[in-house]
Amino acid sequence: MSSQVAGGGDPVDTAQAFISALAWNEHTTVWDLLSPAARAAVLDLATRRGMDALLAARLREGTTGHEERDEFLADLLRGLRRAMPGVDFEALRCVRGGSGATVACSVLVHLVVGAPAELGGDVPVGRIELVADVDGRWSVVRLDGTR
Amino acid sequence: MSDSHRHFEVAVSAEALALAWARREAATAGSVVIVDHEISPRGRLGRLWPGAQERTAVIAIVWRPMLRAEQADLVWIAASLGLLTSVRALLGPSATGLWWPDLVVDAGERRIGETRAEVQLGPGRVASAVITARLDLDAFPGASRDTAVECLIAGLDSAGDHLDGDIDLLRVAYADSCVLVGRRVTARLLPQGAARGTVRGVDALGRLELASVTGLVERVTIVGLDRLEVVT
Repeated sequence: MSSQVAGGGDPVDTAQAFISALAWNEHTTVWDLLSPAARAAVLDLATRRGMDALLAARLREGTTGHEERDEFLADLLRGLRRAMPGVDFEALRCVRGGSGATVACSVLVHLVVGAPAELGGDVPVGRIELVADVDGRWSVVRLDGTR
Repeated sequence: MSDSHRHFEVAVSAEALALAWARREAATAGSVVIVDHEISPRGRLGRLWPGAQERTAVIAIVWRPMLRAEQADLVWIAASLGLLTSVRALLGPSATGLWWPDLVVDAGERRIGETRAEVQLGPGRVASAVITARLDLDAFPGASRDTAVECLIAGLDSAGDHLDGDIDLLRVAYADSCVLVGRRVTARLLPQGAARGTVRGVDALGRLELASVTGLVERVTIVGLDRLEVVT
């Protein structure tokens, strides 16, 4: 999987692109927007849960066939969506937050859904942690739902 | 009225009578129930037909297709094509089309007809299916209810043959007439959630295929669909 889609220069834009890709099943875009460490963590978790180590290696190196890649990424998308069950990803807005805690120099982007002011306004439903690479491009470290 | 047709002035629904006929009296394929006034005209998910009863034509027909159990939803696909045939017999080759999985819509994408398939399964296969088809007579100026019913019977009777032939031909015919193909949609799912993508057609099991721009194809089942929204 090549990094054809790189995160932009703004973490909020990158978070919004990630959420939109999740909403619209753009599987390779989601993968490309994950940071290298996040991809490694995903593959490590998948391997510990029983995925073939050779397949994990092929995914890591980007040498899989389309069918097994698509199957893996479809599972990944389903798993990411389960972080926020019942949330319509298309309706989410991204709001810049503070610093992240998982990796150094990361930032948080809060995911909110709009609600009438009488009901208290925007409702936070999750957050995305992002980190910039040496070229200043942002990528996704993790996605968390608000529990 | 032939032995294969039964006519009722009032009934709870045409489907209920056809189901009873199929179950208790082993109604043969092509048996038709015609009802002038349904008390409970319900379509997919039990939703009420919104048209006035005096301006509605409805039949229910028994099919006995040779399908495996997992292919049961193909009955909806063939039924929709049959309903579209009926509509085009009344309107001529007009700008009508199919809205997956159960509707026929006019050029303005207003519902003018609907189908509902109640499938009875036997061991590993479809034992029988009762197809209900309704038309909104207001969409067919000059057409009497009797004429519309005749067209419904002819359209649905011939559509059952689709299921005995090459399923790929059925899929192609459906995609050719489906107004959603090539459009971006949001499928609202039951009990919750959504699937999004560009409609590619239906697969060999009658599921709607939604393709993302990156090529991932998600399939939506009829039983899992709440509603479809076209994204403009």
